[in-house]
Order: sequence, then C-alpha cells, then structure tokens
Amino acid sequence: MGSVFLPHLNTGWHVDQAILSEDDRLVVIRFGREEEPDCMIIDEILFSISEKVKNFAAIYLCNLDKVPDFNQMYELDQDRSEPYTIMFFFRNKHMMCDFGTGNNNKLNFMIYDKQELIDIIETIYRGAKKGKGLVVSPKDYSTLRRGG
Amino acid sequence: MDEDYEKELLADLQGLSDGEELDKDEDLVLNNEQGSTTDSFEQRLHDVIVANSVSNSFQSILNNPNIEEIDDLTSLSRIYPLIPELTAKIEQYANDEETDYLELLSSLSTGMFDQSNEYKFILTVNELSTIINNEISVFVTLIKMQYKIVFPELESLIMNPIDYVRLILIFKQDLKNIKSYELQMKNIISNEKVLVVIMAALHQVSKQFVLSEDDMNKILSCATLVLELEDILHKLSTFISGKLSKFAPNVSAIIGPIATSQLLIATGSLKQLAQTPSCNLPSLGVRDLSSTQKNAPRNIRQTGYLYHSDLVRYLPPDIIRSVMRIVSGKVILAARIDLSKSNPNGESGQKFLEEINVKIEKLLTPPEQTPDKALPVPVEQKSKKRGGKRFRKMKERFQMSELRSAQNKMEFGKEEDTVMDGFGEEIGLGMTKSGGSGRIGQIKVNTNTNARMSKAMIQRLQKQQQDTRQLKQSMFDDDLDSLILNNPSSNKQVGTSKPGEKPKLDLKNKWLGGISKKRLNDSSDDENKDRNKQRKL
Repeated sequence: MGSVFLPHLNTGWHVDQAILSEDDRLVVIRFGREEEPDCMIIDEILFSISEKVKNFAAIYLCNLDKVPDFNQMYELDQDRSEPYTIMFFFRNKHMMCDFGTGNNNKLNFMIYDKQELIDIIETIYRGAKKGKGLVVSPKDYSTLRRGG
Repeated sequence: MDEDYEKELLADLQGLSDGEELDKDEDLVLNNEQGSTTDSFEQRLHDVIVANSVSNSFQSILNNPNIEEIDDLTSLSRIYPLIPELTAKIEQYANDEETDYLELLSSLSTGMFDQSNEYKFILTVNELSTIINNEISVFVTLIKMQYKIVFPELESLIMNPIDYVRLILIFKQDLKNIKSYELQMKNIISNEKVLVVIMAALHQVSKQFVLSEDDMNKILSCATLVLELEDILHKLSTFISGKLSKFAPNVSAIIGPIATSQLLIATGSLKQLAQTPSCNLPSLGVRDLSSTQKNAPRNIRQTGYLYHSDLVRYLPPDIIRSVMRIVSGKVILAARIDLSKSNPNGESGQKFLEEINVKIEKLLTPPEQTPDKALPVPVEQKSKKRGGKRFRKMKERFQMSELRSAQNKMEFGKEEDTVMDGFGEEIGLGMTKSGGSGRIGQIKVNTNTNARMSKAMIQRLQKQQQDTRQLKQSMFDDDLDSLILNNPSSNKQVGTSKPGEKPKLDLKNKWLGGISKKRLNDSSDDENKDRNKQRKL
C-alpha cells in the first residue's frame, strides 16, 4: 500500500536528479521490489513516517528491475537474502552510517519500528549537516541475525 | 381466566365451530362493538381507547390461546369496524374546517378543554394513531408467524412491515413464478431489493411448504386489513396536518403534524407548550406504546414523541441526544411564535428546520483527519553562553576541585594514606598530602565552592545588625533612666545625625517592652560575665 503513495524513481536519470536536487534535505532511497513482502513492510513504514520527516528528509522508492543502472555502483541486488537496500544521500554525497552490521554503506536489514527509522534518519541528517560522511547509528544492529 | 381457558379447551374438544371460539377479552370487545351500534360513534372510539389503556392490544391479541383456529382475523381488530365511520368523520371535519378553526383555536389557546366536537375528535384521533400503529404491528407479526413456513427469508429481507404485506399480497404462495411479478414488485421496493427477493424465493422453491387455501386466505385477509389500517392512519395524519398547519404552523413545520399534535395534547394547549422548558420536551410521551416494542438504544432514555418524530427517528443513535436537544429548543421557540401569531405561514418554522438540518449535517460529518505533524528539523543550536568572567566563575563552582582530583590519584609504589569515615569505611586520601606529581606541599583549597551570599543579602544583614545594636543601646539607656548621664555623647550623635530615627526607636521600645528588656538584662549579664572572664584570663 505504502509504495503507491510514495514517489517512485523510474529511470536512472530520475534517481540522479532526486539526489542532486535536494539542497537541505536528506535523500532516502529505497532500492528493492515492491512485490516482495519484506519490501512491502518497509514501504508501509516509510510511508507512515514520510509525513513526519518531510522537513529534513525526502523519501523515494526505486525498483531494481526497472532501474538496474546502480546495481553495479552500489552493489545492489547481489545478495538474494537482502530484503531491500535503503541508501542515504545529502547534497549529492553518499552518507554512511555505522549500524554495527559491517556494511556502513546501506541499510539492508529489516526494521519494524517507525521510531527507530526516524531516529536513524535524524542522526544521519545531523551528521550530514556537520559535514560528516559517516555517523554512528543510535542503535546497534550487530546482534541481528543476518542471512547469507 | 383459567376457568375460561379450560372452558374453551373443552369447547375445542367438542368441536364447536371456529368462529365462536374467542378469547374472553375479545368477546368483551366484540360485545362492545356489537352493542355499540346504538351508541354514538364518539362513545365507541372512547371505549376503544379505554380498552387499550387497560390492556395492550398487542398482548391481548397474541395471548389468544387458539389464535390459529380463528377464521376471520379481522374480527380481532378493534379499529377495523370503526374505519368507515372514521373516514366519514374525517371528511366531514376536513370540509368544514374553516368554521371550526376559530373555535378550535380559542379552545386550545385559552387552555380550557372546550367541548367543541372537533377538538375532542382531534384528541381521540391522536390517541388512535398510536393504537392503529400498534395494531398494524400486531397483524404483521401474525402474518409473519404464519407466512414464515412459506418464505422465511422475506421478513429479514424486507424490514418495512407495509412493504412486506404488500409483497405477500402480490405473489402469495407462487414462489415458482415469482419472476412474472417483477414489475409489480418494482412499484413497491427498489430494483436491487426485487432482485434479492426473487433470488431468495427461487432458492426457497424446492423446500417450500404450500399452505392450504384456507390458511392462505386468512393471511391475505389479514394483509388487506393491515393495508386498510395503514390507509386510515395516513388519512388521519393528513387530516391532522391540515388542521395543525393552520393552528401551529411553525411547530408543525419543524417536527411534522403528528408529533405537533402529540406535543400539544400532552401539554394541554399551545400556550402551555410555549411555556414548557425545552429540556422537558423530549420526555413528553415517554411511556407511549411504541417505545415498549421497539427496543430503543440504551443510552437514550427519553424515547418520547420527539424521539419518534420523523426528524429524529432515522438518525444514528449516538447523535440523537444532541439532536433532540437542538430540536426541542427550536420547537419551543416556534411554539412561542405560533402563540403570538406573528408568523402564520410557518416561515420561521421552515427557517428553524433548515438550521436544525445544517446542525444535524454537521453532527453527522465524521471528524476531520489531521495529518501527522511533521517533526522539526533537528538543528543543533550553539549555546548562547560563550565565556566571560562571570560564566567562568560559575563553571568553576561546579568543577571538580583540585583536592578531590588529587584524592583520586595514587602515587606509584607508595602506600596510600587512609582515614575511616563515620560508617567505618576506609577512604583513601590519594595524593592529597603530597600535592600532585613532582610538587611537594599542600594543595590550595578551592575557594570557588564556598557558600556565597548576594550583595543585597549582605547589606540587609548588616543593616539588621546595626539596628539591633542601636536598639540594645537605647533600651539599656531607658532602663537606667539616665540617657544623658550614662552616655551623652552617643545619644547626641544619634539625635543629630539621624533625627528621623529617634521616634522609631522609641516606638519599638514601647512595643517590645518586657521581653527585650529581659533579654537585654540577660545579655548585659552575659557581657558582664564575659568581661569577668576576660579579666580572669
């Protein structure tokens, strides 16, 4: 449901523009496939928080099948156990976040709590505003069981 | 009653003809009706109303033990025999309303129960409407009870009793060919409903129980009776509305003629209705018969005439209370307008109705959905305090003192000095004695953490001390009665330097006489002792 209401990025050009166009907001892009259940869950959560975080973050969705351009660059769709990949950008710069999972480049594990996701976005925004490229996630996700 | 019942059972066994087997109650009523051919029409109407007040027709008819045996169900109706006369009467009064209108008006507005025939007729008609309503529901239940075996689903599909009866009259038992009645049915109910009924009927055909000709005829006669009752009820309401639209145009514009007449009769007159507080209006007619049958929602206590008026009845229960409050307020206002006859066309009533409808509309609209409030941008503002002497002092006050930090350090390779505190705990002193690395000597105690007083406080305390000193002095002087002799110079000084203060002190002396004197004596004793001590030392 949530994926219907959030803006979709249909081509690579759209993705680039979305990242480039935002001047003072964090750009959050979810790469994944709407038809998969895990992705549906995160879409729902993203939709429900999109109104709350709209002052400091813009949330976009991108289907991996429609836009395969970034699969190489961002190492998307390499791991079948990955439910989806959420990436953060600020002023055309990729923001990294230390979730404790070993991959600081992206958020690629299940999150079921809205507030946790809001906190992560907020932390990354704070760091980005200070000019940092890497921030530490407010919660450590290293204890999550990760497949693969 | 029991005996009667037994007798009837016996009669049953003896195989008497069905028509004679009537319940005792019914016998009474029938006797009344048969005997009343000589009585006046009004008398018979009155009898019916009285009988109804004694026993609810619903109960008396359904309690009839051998109801299935009765051939002619129309004989159970109390109203049915009166119908022709009633219609005649209505037409008569409806025609000559012009002449009676003034009479009616005067009779109602004076509050006196005038013996005008028409007024009495209106009163009885009002009572009758509830009775007729009641009878309709009784006969519909009778029909339902009997028709159930033919087409049980119909009563749940068609909730309106009159529509239900009409449908039965149309297709009777002929469920198989129900499609051929489609056009006729469409006149009564909506197309979708027709479709549903036809589907259900065709489904029912296979297990249908076909009633005998006699039984079916009974149902049909019952059905025609219901329709006739409905017809007379309609006539009555149009009659009353015709009357009341002239009499209380504004009130009837709001709640309709039937409810208007009910309210008028419940209060007695238009004047009294106008004087009734609006909060009392919903409770008028609460114990009417219709409310005992329909189970009203629990949260609405006041199921009176207003509750059953068309304006309120079909609303969802959660807003009925507030709607009734709004309506009753407007009704009373309209009644006052009617009483003053300032608006005979009912325009203000219409206006009130519009207002009420707007308010109902507002009550019915669901609450607005408020979207999630966006969180504020998480901007970290730098603190406004950056430095300065005062701020540094303030920060120093909360810093760890040098002594404390020295206590936390330990010298390498030496045993630590310890003390025992009040709880018997051993507390290490760390490097407090040696005074930090390489430096020998005592560490300066941090003076920043000392207790402080504001300048104002210091001044206040100083002044107080001064005052008490002066007080002591003057008291001391008073006591000895030798101001000049004892200490002339100081007294002079006080007198010359502060002339305003002298009387103040005197006042104090007066008021604080005993105690302070005593204290002064004590203190002087103390002073003496001190002096003695000092001398000894």
